[in-house]
This record gives sequence, structure tokens and C-alpha cells, in this order.
Amino acid sequence: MTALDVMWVGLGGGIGSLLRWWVGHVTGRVYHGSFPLGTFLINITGAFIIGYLSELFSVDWRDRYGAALNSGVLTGFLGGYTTFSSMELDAAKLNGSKGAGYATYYLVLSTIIGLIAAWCGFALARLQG
Amino acid sequence: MRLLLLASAGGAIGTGFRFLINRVFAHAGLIEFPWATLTINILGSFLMGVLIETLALRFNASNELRTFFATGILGGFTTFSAFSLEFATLYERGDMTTAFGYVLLSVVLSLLAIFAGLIVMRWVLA
Repeated sequence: MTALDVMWVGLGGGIGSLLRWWVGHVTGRVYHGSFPLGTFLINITGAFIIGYLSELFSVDWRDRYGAALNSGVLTGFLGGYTTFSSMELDAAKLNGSKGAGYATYYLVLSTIIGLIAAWCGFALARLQG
Repeated sequence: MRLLLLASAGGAIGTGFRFLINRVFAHAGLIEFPWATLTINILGSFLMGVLIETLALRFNASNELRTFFATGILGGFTTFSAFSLEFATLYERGDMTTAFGYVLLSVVLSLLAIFAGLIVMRWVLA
């Protein structure tokens, strides 16, 4: 690991987080319902893209931090764009405002659709390759 | 504009810490199971609980602080994309028990961690 790797990761994470803030901001303007649509869309699109790119670059998670491309784009940009803690926070808030059933529904839906999205990204890259 | 800069500066810091923790786990040889991401997401969720309760009780739910620490640092520190990639990799290898176990552990333990964070701070700051 070099200082340069950390720089790429930090740069990617900064840009990814900026985009996450922006998507959340725009979604909040368009949609006013109680479903945490912003975080949901962010995680699903991020999962799809990481599935697609990792199959394209054929990287396993164990060598995710090898090249600048991997560390900057996968760990940095996509890692910074998607979030786990905000999703859990959304669920905890929903538990308080809408009840445990709705909170569980959100959490299960986000997770399952996210995992399917990552797999679809994989499959798409394989179809093209 | 200011919020956007706060989110991205925090995100760079959080992502940097995630990268360092990944490296530490890789260095320790803990790479057959995604221990690093699991630890990161649980720890990040606990800190999110601590932070949100602290902001609510002590800082008047300041939008600037929330954007920098919650959206930026903790949002960038934790990750869903690595989590889903790790699941897909385990699944592709045919290791179903590990793949689904990983998902269940991540989601449930992180949820418990955020509630733990909220409760601890409510108790500490009350």
C-alpha cells in the first residue's frame, strides 16, 4: 500500500459521497413518501455497477485494492457512493415512525434487490464478454 | 454547496478509513471470508447510532454536522457495493451457506449495532 493508493481511494470516496448526497437531495425533491427511496436507489445502482465492473476487470474482493483502478473506482468511488449505515439508520427510523413491519420490509427489499442487481451486473458483463 | 463539500470531504475520510481496515485484515490473512466489510458495516452502524442520538440530544440536529459526519464520514466508511459484490462472489463459488450467512449476519448485526448506539447515547447523555 502506498500513499498514492490512499489518495486514489480518498478521491474516489469523496466523489462517490458527493454523488450520493446529490442523488439523495434530488430524490428528496421529487419524492415525498415515507419510503427511503434515495438510499434504496443509490445502493441498487451501486451494486449493479460494482457487479458489472468487477466481472469486466475480473477482480475478486481479495485483490480489490491492487491497481489504482480497483482501489479508486471499486473501493473508492463505488464504496463511497453506496452506504450500509444510512440504510440501517433508515430502517431504525422507520421502526419508530411506521412500525417494525415496514422497517423489515424496507431492509429485506433493499438487501434482496441490491444482491440481485449485483448479480445482474455480473451477468451483463459476462454476456458482453 | 457547503453541504455538498462537507459530504464529499467526509466521504473521502470515511472511505480512507475503510481502505485502511481492509488492508489490515488482508495483511492479517483474514481474506477467505469478508471479515473486513462485515466489521466495517457493523462498526459504522454502531457509530451512526451514537452520532444521530448525540446530534439530536446535544447539537440541535445541526444539518452541517449531520452532513459531514453521518452522510460523509459514516456513509463513506460503510458500503453496500462491496457487501453485494462479496455475496455475489461467494454465491458464484457455490458456497451458499457462507453467502447467505454473510448477508444475514451483516444486516441483522448492523441493525442491532445501530440500536445499541442509539440506546447507549440516550443513556449516557440523559
